[in-house]
Amino acid sequence: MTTGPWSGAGGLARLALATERRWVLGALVVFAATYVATATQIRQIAATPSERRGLQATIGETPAFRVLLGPFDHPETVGGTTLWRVGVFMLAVVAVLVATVVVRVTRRSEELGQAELLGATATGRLAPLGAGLVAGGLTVLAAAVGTAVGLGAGSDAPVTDAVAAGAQVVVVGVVALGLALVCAQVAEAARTALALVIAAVLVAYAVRGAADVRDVDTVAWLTPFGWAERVDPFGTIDVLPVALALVAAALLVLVAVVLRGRRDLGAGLIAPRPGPARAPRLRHPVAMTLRLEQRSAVFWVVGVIGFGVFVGSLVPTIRDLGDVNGALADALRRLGGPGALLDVFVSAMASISGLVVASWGVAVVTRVHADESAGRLEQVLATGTSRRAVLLAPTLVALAGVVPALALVGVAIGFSGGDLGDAVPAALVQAPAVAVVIAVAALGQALGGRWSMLAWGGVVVATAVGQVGAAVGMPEWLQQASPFTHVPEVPADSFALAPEVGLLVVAAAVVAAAVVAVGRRDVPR
Amino acid sequence: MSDLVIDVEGLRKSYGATAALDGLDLTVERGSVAGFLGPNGAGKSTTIRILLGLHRASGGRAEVFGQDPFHDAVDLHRRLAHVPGDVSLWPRLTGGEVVDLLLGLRGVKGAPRRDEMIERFELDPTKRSSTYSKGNRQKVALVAAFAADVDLLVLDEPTSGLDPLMEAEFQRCVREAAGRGAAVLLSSHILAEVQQLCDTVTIVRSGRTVLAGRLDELRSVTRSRLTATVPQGVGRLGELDGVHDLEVDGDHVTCTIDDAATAEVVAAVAALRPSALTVEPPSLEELFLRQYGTSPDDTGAAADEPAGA
Repeated sequence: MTTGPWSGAGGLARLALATERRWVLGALVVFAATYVATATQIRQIAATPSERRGLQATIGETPAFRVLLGPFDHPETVGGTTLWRVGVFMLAVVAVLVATVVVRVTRRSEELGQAELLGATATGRLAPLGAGLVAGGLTVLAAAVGTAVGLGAGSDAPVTDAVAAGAQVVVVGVVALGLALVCAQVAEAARTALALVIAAVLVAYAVRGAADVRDVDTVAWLTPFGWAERVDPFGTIDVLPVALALVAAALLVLVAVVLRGRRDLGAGLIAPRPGPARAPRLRHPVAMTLRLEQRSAVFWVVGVIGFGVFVGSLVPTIRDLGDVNGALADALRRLGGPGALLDVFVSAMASISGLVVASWGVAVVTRVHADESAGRLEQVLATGTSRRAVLLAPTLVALAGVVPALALVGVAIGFSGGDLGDAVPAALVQAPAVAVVIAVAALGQALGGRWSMLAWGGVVVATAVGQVGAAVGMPEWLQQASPFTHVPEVPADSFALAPEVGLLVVAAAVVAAAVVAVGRRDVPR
Repeated sequence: MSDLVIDVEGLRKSYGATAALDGLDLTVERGSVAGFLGPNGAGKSTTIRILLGLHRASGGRAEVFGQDPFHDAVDLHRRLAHVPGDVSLWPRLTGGEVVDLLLGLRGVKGAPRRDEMIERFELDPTKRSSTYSKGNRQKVALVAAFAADVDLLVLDEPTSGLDPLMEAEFQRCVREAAGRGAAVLLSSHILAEVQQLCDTVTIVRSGRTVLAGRLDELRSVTRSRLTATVPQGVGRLGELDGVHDLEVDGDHVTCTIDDAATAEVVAAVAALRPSALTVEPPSLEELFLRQYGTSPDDTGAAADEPAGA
């Protein structure tokens, strides 16, 4: 065996694949499933080319949608429409996914001391980097294959176009891979490394959005998203951007290698800053939850406002849409029930914002399980803090945040859409349904162990059943499983008190069950 | 009121089919330091989790301050401090914030020795927990434990990762706490630490107490070791009552002697005109290894006598 800085990379790569296998397989399944599901939905909303051209002329030309989804150039096929609908968004997803895997294999293993343990064996200094390269590369490949297969099998896309769509994933994926390797060298904390990549993805996404609105070609070439768009599946397919991306990725890997050669294990350019030496007010589990959540809350607030502003910016388009596209209007009505199209739209978007707020709440509540598996919960419970308080503090913080967060979305939609009237109540009526999702998450934490997965399970069920269920014609009884199905569709429908009170009673009962459950079990389970 | 702070009798705990504790006895008195010894997996941490009300006992009796540790957990925890063997902290909080958090959650207002302890353990309270080494994470929990007065310290291998200077500081802190009247339960694998700090020891094995008592009493029921250099030969030393395990290697002789026969045996050896003579009480390590070196049945029988004494 040759020895050098890369030796042992093969072994570490196999180790990385053993630990990160679920991410790679997950990429394959999620990408394939997303394309199949979206193509199915497109076929229902806009089955004929003329309907799809109608979609292009209305929604496709809206600046907000050009920023979010990119230009809608190929409405002739279901495949082209599907790719427009989710393509650019999935490119951002692959970037974050690859960065997560790469940072886990490289900087996180360094942070946890695993790299030190392995570095003392006959592995070279660059072996972890090589393992990150392999694991990240396979993630990109899995997402690309998932895209091509999902698009090819789910729609009418010819093989060449499906493969070209996969190549778009490769373009963004490999650049994200290279960038993640560099960021993992620069930042001392894995969290910071991942945050750097995500920030870069968001900036690139925004720059591409600006370029697509103005149709400025020079700006479009600035980001890998722009390169991916220039691959142009369903149009004049071009492989030059793929070559460009591979060269860029190779350069980034080179930068990472040089940086690794110049630093010590565990060191980086960006070190965590010192913080306060005292915390006289951290005397209660609620204060503790607030302190630990304050930073991520900022991101959620910004995200929620951004979502509201975006939805509001669509209001004028939806108002004009009315009769242009019968099938699309039908589909929107199926999502939101009867009523004027704009009312249905506002109500449907309010329901989605409810899911976003519920996700934040679940993230807060799942801190209990995170603390338990890390051994921190034992330390807290060994103080004068009761099990009930440990469970209820994050639950109450999450519940207390629901109404302000929903109000924020409503106000953002209203301001940006020019009519405050309907949006705020439409958002606020979601609160009891959000409370149910948070309560279920709390129950999962109370039961502990595998049950803690109930938390995100609730969000997934609410999304799958409540949002997608109606669109794909899921049976009525199954749709009832989502609390959001029971929320009155204000402003399309009139407000009804009974279902709201019912949801609140369910939420209260579930929280009560959680309080009982947490008092009975071993900690850690 | 009794002086027993921790009173455990016949404690049992099973996880499904596995029995983690199978009749464990343990007592800790006010103002005393109790060593809690046993091999990995013997049930020490399970016992501590039950004493902290984190796990519920399957059988037997466990009392802390005469109360049920599971049902009265919060009340009891205001009177105690716990240091786990592997301290896990919130990565975004600084060490100082975690110290104040743990003290605050215990209900302590204005911990009298907070700053003193930070200084004594040489902890930088402004650093993020994610950047601390194992030893420094351990110090955070120790500072929080010793910063305010408590009636009970539950220390589960608290010094893993500490350097010898910090280890000495830790021992001073434990003595000060016991001097203030606190009861201390110290689970440890560092026998020298236990030997120096502890008034009593409890040795457990396979979830059962195999040896318990005051350290000096335990020593007296076990034989001392005699080592001598006797150029003129051992004579009839081997025939004396109370002499065991006699080994002769040239003019070098070692044997173990019953505590009661020490005077006669030493006089007999002195008559042999030795050029060197030492008599050592059994070290904790010898007690410890004796309990582990034999089969569980043997230790069970051997333990009855001292445990009942």
